[in-house]
Amino acid sequence: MEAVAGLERDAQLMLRVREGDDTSFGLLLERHRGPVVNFLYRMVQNQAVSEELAQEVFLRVYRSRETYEPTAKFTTWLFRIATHVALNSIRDRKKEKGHESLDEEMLDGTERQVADRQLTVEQEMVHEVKLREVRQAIEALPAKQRAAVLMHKYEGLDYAQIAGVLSCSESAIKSLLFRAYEALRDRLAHMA
Amino acid sequence: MICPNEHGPDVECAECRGFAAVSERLDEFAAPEVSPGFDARLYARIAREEARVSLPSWRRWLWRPVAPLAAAAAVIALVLFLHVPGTPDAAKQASPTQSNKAEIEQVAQAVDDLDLLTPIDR
Repeated sequence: MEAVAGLERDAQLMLRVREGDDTSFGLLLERHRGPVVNFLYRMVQNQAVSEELAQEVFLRVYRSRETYEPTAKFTTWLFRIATHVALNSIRDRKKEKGHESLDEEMLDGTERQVADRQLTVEQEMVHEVKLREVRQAIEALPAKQRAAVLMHKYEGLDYAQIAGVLSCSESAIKSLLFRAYEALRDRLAHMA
Repeated sequence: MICPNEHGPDVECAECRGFAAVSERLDEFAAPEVSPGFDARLYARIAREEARVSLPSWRRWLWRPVAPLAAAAAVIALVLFLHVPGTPDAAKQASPTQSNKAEIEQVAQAVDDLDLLTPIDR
């Protein structure tokens, strides 16, 4: 008898999706929609694109339901798909000419709902400058370093999971993350 | 937190402090809320794909128990086709005596098998 009880909750839900239970897919979507969109947003730094890519991720999850096997943690598998989709998008957008830059997005009036802050105008300006520098520093990282940092910093994945996502060893991930954080420290050192 | 220096988790070296400061800077980078229509768009996309690539659900439901039976029927039909008298068979045509002998042996075997299957009267 399969040790379903020993599996993590997400893997159990995905096994139910495999059996045709679409309600379980809805539960997985509820649990992971935010983290996947957030990860993709920080990877590509464009809200519309990040949501489109996130839909592609969940579409692939749904498409793979009949052959799903819980060989790794569900989040590892999910972020492997998300990273693959993000890296493809970054590569494709680099090839395109005139793709939307950070500056264009910040000036196009797109409403970005960030955490509610009661800031003065001056504080808001300082915040915008800091935010721009952080975004540029992250965007300057090589794509795999960027993905590793985002998973480590914002999504709470541990070294083993990130290694599973990027298909390399834990020691390689530690080295990758160290170089990434060093690069970020060098770029952001002037910020108070 | 990432630190190349080997020390216990309760120790904080200069590198640790440096990387902690980086982590604090990264907190500035908040992500926006997911737009309200996200799920609806996703389900619409799934529905479109399902309609495009798969059979209608009632046909899929009907086919599920029939498929293994259909496969078995195909195998039986193939076996019968190869062994039905009158079917062109180069080997049989080349040596009719040998093929007749094989048929006789097969029939004899079948009769033996039938004996084994016949219940013994007690």
